[in-house]
Amino acid sequence: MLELKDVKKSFGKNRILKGVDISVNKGDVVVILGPSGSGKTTLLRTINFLERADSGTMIFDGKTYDMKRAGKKEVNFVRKNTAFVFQNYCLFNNKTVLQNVTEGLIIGRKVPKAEAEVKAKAALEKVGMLDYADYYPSRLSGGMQQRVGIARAVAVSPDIILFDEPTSALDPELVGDVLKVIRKLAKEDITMIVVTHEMSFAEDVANKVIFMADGVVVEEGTPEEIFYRPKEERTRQFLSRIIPVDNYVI
Amino acid sequence: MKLDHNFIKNTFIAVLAGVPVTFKLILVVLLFSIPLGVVVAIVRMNKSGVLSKIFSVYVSFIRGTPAMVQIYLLYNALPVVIMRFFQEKGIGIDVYGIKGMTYAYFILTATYIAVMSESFRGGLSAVDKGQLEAAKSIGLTPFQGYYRIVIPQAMANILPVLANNVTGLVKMSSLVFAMSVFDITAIAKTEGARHTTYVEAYLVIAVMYITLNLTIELIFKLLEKRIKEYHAL
Repeated sequence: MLELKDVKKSFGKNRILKGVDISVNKGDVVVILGPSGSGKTTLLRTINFLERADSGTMIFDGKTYDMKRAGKKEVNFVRKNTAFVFQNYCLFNNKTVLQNVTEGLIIGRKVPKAEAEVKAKAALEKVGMLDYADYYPSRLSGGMQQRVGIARAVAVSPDIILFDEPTSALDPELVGDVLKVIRKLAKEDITMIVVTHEMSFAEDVANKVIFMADGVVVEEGTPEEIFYRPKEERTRQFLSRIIPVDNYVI
Repeated sequence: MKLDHNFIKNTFIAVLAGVPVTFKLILVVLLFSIPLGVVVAIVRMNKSGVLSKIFSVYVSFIRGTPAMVQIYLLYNALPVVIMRFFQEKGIGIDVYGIKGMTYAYFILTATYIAVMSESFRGGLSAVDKGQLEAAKSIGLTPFQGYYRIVIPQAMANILPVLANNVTGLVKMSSLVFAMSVFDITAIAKTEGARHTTYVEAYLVIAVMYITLNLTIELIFKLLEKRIKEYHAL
């Protein structure tokens, strides 16, 4: 349902994406791993046109888009059928939790207010935040804000949800709650691409893991293949640094 | 020195006639300069394009010249420019029939667009850019994102500065006498001249300006408190 071909992007002289191809099928949970600066986040942002790729093609829902030249209407169509969960939540500070979730429905998709509220409440229920519907974001913890961020994404029933390091800004003790919510969504066959550093989460939930480094896809496969039988040296190097070795005792 | 109390009372009554003029000036100028100031600020923040550069020069000009000079310059230059413009189009127009008040609206608005845009630029850039991105990501157009998400937050940030701008405008409105507009200052001036009791006349309007500005400050304080309580920004 989503295919990216030869996506390139530079910031000044810095080449962040050097020609990336990925494909995602309906119901897939794709996890993108890689060291910082490898272009994972940039790639995710180009899908939603938050960042304009310098070149590349995207096939989404059977339509082909020129990622550099897509017009306003095309961009808006893609945005209306995808959703984005931000690393630092980015909840609307001037709106309550409920309004944060209804905004995309009422304003973005012209859903009548009453209907939007029913949908929003269902989404908040799903992430365990319905009790906080009338709170402003500033009164919530990071973990709670991120769960609302996920509800905001789920409520618009997107074809695909893009998660940009959804837990990396959280206190360690709050990470679990957010991951639990994402796991739940994965079980509902919601298609998603998740950029994360949570290895055990990736192993449990993903049906496809993509390892990126230096602006290219180094290796992709099932979690089994990537975590236990990596083919590339670069992948092995990365994993050995990031996965705690069991018999390593301090 | 002894103040003429009777004169103070009479001047006060005379000056009241100028109050609607002052109020109209302030309200009309705010009505136009706030939204246009936001537009100028957003265009300048995006940095690209000729428009951004033009606005930047325009703001520097307004910031770098005294209000009185702007008024004299535009008040004298505009009629000629307008006349030339319409002559070229072959339309006859009586430039000197345009009222001073019209010029006053135009010139003060032009000045205040620059003043407001500078304040908004500060306020807008204090809002995290993720807010606009989040708005776009849920399917809002950039305009909707600014209007519904970014600008309200920027407004809350810059209320104190905005209060300053509005009280500044109240004070600047006193300069319109130079365009023969009869606001409270102009009336006080002529009343004072007629009876050579300048001190009393100016005392009356000084008190009026202070009262008006204290009220404005109070309104903004309440507004700020309300926003802080409800939005907990």
